[in-house]
This record gives sequence, C-alpha cells and structure tokens, in this order.
Amino acid sequence: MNAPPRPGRILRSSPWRRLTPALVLGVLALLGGLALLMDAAGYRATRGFASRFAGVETVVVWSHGLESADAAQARAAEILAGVPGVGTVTPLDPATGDALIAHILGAPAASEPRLLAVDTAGGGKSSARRLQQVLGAQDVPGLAVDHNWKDSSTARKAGLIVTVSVLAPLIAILGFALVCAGEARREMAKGHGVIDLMRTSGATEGYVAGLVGARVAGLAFTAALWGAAGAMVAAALVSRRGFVDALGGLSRGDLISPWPLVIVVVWLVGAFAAWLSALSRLKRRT
Amino acid sequence: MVRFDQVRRGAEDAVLRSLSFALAPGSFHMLTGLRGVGKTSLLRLICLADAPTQGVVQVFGRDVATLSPKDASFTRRRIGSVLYPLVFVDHLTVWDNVALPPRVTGRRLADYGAEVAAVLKWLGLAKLADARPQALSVAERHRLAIARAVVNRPEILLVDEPDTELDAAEAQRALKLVGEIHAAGATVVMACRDEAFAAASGQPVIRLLEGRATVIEADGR
Repeated sequence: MNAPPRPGRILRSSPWRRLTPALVLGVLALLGGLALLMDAAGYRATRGFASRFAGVETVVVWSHGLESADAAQARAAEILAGVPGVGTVTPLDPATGDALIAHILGAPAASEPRLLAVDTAGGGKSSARRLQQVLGAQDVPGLAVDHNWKDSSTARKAGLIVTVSVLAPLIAILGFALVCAGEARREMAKGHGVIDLMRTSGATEGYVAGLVGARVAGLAFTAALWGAAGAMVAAALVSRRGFVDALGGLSRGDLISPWPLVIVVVWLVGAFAAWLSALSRLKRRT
Repeated sequence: MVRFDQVRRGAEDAVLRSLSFALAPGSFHMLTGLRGVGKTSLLRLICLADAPTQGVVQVFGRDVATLSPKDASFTRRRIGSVLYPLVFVDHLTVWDNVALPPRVTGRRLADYGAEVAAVLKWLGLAKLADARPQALSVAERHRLAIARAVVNRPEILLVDEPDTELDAAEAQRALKLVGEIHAAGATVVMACRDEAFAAASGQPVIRLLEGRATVIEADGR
C-alpha cells in the first residue's frame, strides 16, 4: 500500500456547481470592467483636452480710426505685456488669425482683425475681463476670449466623470468582496463538520481560513474570467464600430490590455475577502 | 494531564453543571451515563472543541481559557478524538482521511506516509485504503475514525461510545485496540452507555449524573 502521489483536496472546488454566486460575481466583474474602461476613456478625453487650454487667452483687436490692424495688434501686444500676471504675448500672423477668427467670432472678418495669444500663466477667470478692460482704457478696441473659463468648466465636468468612473469600479469591487465573503460564510456553514474535524485535528485558524479562501478564490477567478471576457467583447464591439474616438482616443490596445490585471486584482480581492470572512467566523466560534 | 474544576457548559439548561475530576498521565477511564447526560460534551471540552461556560479546564497543565488560538491548535495536535457523529471527508479516500491530521498540521507526505500505512495495517483497513468512507461498514468506519485519531501518536485519546453503533464483538475489538494504544502510553477516556461494558473493561469509571461526575475506581471504590 503506497501513499498517493498527491493527496486529494480537503475542500472541493467546484465553481460550476455554484452557478448563482458565480453569475452574480461574473456580472459584478463585468460591470467593474466596463466602468474601468469608461474611467480610462473619460480621463483621457477630459484631462487631455482641458490641459491644452490651461492659462491661455486669445485677444482679438481691430483697426481703429487711422490706426491699421497691424499697428493695433502691435500696440495691444505692448500694452498687454505690461499687465501684471501676463507672461508672454504672441501676435499671430494674419493668415493664422483669419482662419481662427471665424471659429471664435462665428462671423467673417470684416474689419481686418488681428489675434494675439496671451499666456496668463494660469490666471483665473478674471484675466480675460481684465485684459479687455486694460485695452479699452488704452483706446484699443478688442475682445479677450477666456479659454480658462472653458478650462474650468471642462475640469469640473472631468472631475465629475472621473469621480463617478473611479467610484463605479470601486463599488463593483466592494460588491464582489461582499459576495465572496458571504460565499465563504456559506461554505463554512455547509462544511461545518469537516471544518470542526480539521480544528480538532490541530489545524490553525489561518490554515482552515486559507482552505475556505482558496475554495472561494476558485469561484472568484472563474467569475473574473467571465467578467473580463464580457468586457473585452464589449470593447471589441466598440472598437469595431469605430467608436474608439468617442472614447477619448483610447487605442485598441487600451481596450484589451488591462484585463489580465483586472482578473488578478478581482481574484485576489475575492480570495482575501473570503479568507478574512472565514477567519473572523472561526475566531467568533472559539 | 487533565483537570476539571467546577466546570459548567451551557446556560440555564446546561447538561454539564459542576464537573470536577482529574485524569493522571497514562490513565484509562471509562465515561458512562445515560443518553444526553453530556458525555460527548465532556469529551469536546477535553479536546478543546468547545470552551467551558464556567470553571477551569486544564489540559497538559494549562488552563485552556488562557491559550492563544495558535497554542490551542498545538494542544489539539496532542489529542486524538473519535467523536459522534463520525465525520469523514467523503470525497477523499480512506488513506487520505487517515492522513488528514498530519496533513492539516503542516507535515509533509514523505514524513507521515509510512505512519498512515502502518496504522491502516494495524486496524485491518490496508486493503480499503483506496475506498471512500461511505463504502465502508459501520465497524470499518469506526476503525477508520480510530486510525485517524491515533495517526499523530496522541498523548490523550478520546473515544465516544463504541458500544452504540457497533455490535458486541466489534465494540470489544475497539476496546482492545484502544487498550493497545493505552499500553503504548496514551491517556484514554472512552465513553459508553452500557455500564456492564464499562465494568467489564476493568478500568476506572467516570459516571455522569445530573451534570456532575463521580469517579469510581476499578475496584469499586
């Protein structure tokens, strides 16, 4: 009679037999994964876009009286350079300015306006108004367009999107952990006799909790695989339909690459929650 | 080796109310009493499966209430128990079931493999090593439980009511096997319902009645 080459598992791991918790965990992993995807897309779209406008004003000036548009542009540059808080003032050449003016004013250039890019070194919302006041005081007709206002608005929206999209995966992971902890308690109740047997045989609480945790971890891993697979399919569909640009320029690699890490994280969270739940239950029993 | 001092287990309707007795190292006691009198509860207190509600239980000279969880686990490793209802890991083989105590205490297969084989041979279960517990007869299951209880060479062996499920011949066989373990140096407590069975063993008796214990020496004192 020889010893078996490998002893059998004391607590059997059979995720397929526990379909309901596996489905719940799978859906949670899928939702968490999709939220993570939205998180990445939202962050890219808002933060990336907003940063292009930080601390930059555009000032439009016109010819006035006998003063030509170019002279008005040069005078405005000189005046604005002397305003406290202004870094550099860059007069734009007429061709570039004409192309941009239609975007800003929404009307064709009738009086040869000229543009100046003013770096306000991250100045606040009042900067544009102030620049316009300074120009008005010096009898230079001009309009200051405050990109910082756009920036702060975008940043607020970005903050909201990022907060929601960070909270969503966290809530999904918390739900995942709670379901795994509940599953561990169910395993403990179901295997009460064998667990009692292990304890009276001298197994430590950590050992028993480890076995229960490993059993639930098997379930968590399967669920994480399902969730990640579902999220990858969703990502592939989005990518195939050409919505990648709408997701803030996420590449196809961005849509695929996080999933191995997500699976490992979700698996570990599930195993840890189950282990902790089993351990606390064993301690309560003693 | 084991000392109970005014031990109570349970609340208002406690089965064990005021137990006081001591077991010397290397002793062999039969534990008797009617059904429901608390024999299994007493054995569970000795093997640290349960904790007393009141009083002091000392095992190996230490108050079990003062043991850390880890120390309690190490203490349990020195105690073998056959408690009812008999529990086995049904999806594991007889061999794996016997190997459970050394395995869960972190020993390596290479260290305990020979011991498991020897215990199975000694108890006549060697040919059933690959069977599942549910395929065994009642007597074989009881011997399997004894094999599991002794594989770690315990200093204290607790055996619960072999006379309940086993026929007279098998109960005597169980008594003989436990006697051999006692002869090897273990302190033994064997619970039984049958007073005659206890008396015939020629060992001192702990009689449980109304939550209290009375120790009767083998010569009837």
